[in-house]
Amino acid sequence: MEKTILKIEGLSKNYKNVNAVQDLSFDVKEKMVYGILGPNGSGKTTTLGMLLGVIRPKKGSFSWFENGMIDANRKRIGALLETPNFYPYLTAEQNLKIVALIKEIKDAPKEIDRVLKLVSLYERRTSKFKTFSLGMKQRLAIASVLLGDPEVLVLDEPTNGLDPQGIAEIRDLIIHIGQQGKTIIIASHILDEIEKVCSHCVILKNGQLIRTGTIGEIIGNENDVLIKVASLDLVKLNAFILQHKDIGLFKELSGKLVLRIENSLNPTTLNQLFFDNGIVLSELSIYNETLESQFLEIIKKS
Amino acid sequence: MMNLVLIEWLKLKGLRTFKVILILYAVLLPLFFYSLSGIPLFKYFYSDVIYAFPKVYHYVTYISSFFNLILGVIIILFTCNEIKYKTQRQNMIDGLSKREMILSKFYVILLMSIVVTLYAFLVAFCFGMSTNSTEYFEGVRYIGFYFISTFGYFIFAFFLANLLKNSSLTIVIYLLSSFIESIIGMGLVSKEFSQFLPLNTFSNLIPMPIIPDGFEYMMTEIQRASLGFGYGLCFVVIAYIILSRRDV
Repeated sequence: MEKTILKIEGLSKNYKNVNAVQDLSFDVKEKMVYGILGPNGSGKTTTLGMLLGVIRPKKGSFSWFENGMIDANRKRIGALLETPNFYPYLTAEQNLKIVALIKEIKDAPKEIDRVLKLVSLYERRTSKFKTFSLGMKQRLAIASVLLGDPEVLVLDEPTNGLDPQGIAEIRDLIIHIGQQGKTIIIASHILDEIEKVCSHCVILKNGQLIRTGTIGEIIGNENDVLIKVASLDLVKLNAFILQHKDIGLFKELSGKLVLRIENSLNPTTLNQLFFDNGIVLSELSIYNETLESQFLEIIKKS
Repeated sequence: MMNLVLIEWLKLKGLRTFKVILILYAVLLPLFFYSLSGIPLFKYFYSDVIYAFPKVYHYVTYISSFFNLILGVIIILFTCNEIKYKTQRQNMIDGLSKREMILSKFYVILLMSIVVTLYAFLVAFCFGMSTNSTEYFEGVRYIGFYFISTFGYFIFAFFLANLLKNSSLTIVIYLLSSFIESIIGMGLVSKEFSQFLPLNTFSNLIPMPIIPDGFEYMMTEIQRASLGFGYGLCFVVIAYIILSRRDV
């Protein structure tokens, strides 16, 4: 059994009349790349803020490394919350030096050089933070997260403000770090990002947990083959599907149907089956469900 | 502790306001004190007194205490910067506790009070040496009182900065606070009562040296010093309570 890195139990926070986070509970095990998904204002940042000791929970508790809520836990976590926060009048190097001192990182100068090279800011290490572009600021924040090679990374919108090339670079970096066996918790509303990077995820809406599981479970096509079909005679098609136990309706998609079929069937036999029963298909294709479309549906339903 | 001091030093030494205000203080204090000799009143009646031991300690610390308000601005900017740049938040995310956040600034205030006090001592001592007087350490207690007074003003500035968060607002309130305290103390209660209030306590530690004091202090110098130090510690504790109840 893998070690539990983070255990959250009944965490709640409200601001005046707004319930930002309500009775949230979930666990993150070692080596998971865990996504926290949700629309704007769903409580992602508030949740991370509580886990990182800057927002006081109203109720509930959490425990890092099975070690409770003590402040020293955070020295073992590399975290980026919302915007990159640095001293504008200090250089990139000086800013990281402060972080290294707080985290009590050994061999700091070497470590600072390493992370600056990782995010391609080494050449600009003696420039003041205030002279950096938005993308460079974000990259410095990533460097700061990686400083000291922490056991756990907590990232809130890590690709915010980056250009497409920067987004791809940071994403590859996160995937690479995840493959090294680090635990990563990543909050984002960019679903593509979560789908590409994460193994597990939790979906929040209005501060409440509405789904949790592996990415495969949430998308729902882990074991089944999905086929998109269309026919001129939709009524007949629908009626046939309802009768047939090996075919299930996964969802409707603008006049077309996405079907879940049992292992006994494949596109060829399915086409034959329909044809034999007097249904002529105008379209038949393998359908790949994306996290994005599933997410939108889950959010709409709940 | 050394780790916290080192962190704060890295932040401070890049701050231009810090350097400028300290240099201004270092240059203006001896110049201003020296320029007193040009004022007729001092020239004819006091010049052999103010530069000589033991009075020199009292005069230098009295003049130096005018700078306390300006030096306190460093503390305010330094504290409010951390809130404005959200670096206080980042420091905590990176692993500092709220207790350490307060402690690290407390160390800065303590060290800055020590440095400013030592400098005032040095200035007084040099002026004293330039005269013929030989009671080198007579009246040196004023240096000790000056330390507590400075420490008190700095801690008060830190407390205000934590309370109000916004630097311009804090500076205005800080500069007006003695005035506000007087209104509360003297206007609403009595002059006797007002000497027990914190800012009055800090400033009464170094009373005006020339005019014979018609005012009766109800406390001895040592009592005033202890009360001043007590107020200083209270302000730190209140600042900690404010921070610990706040989402940063």
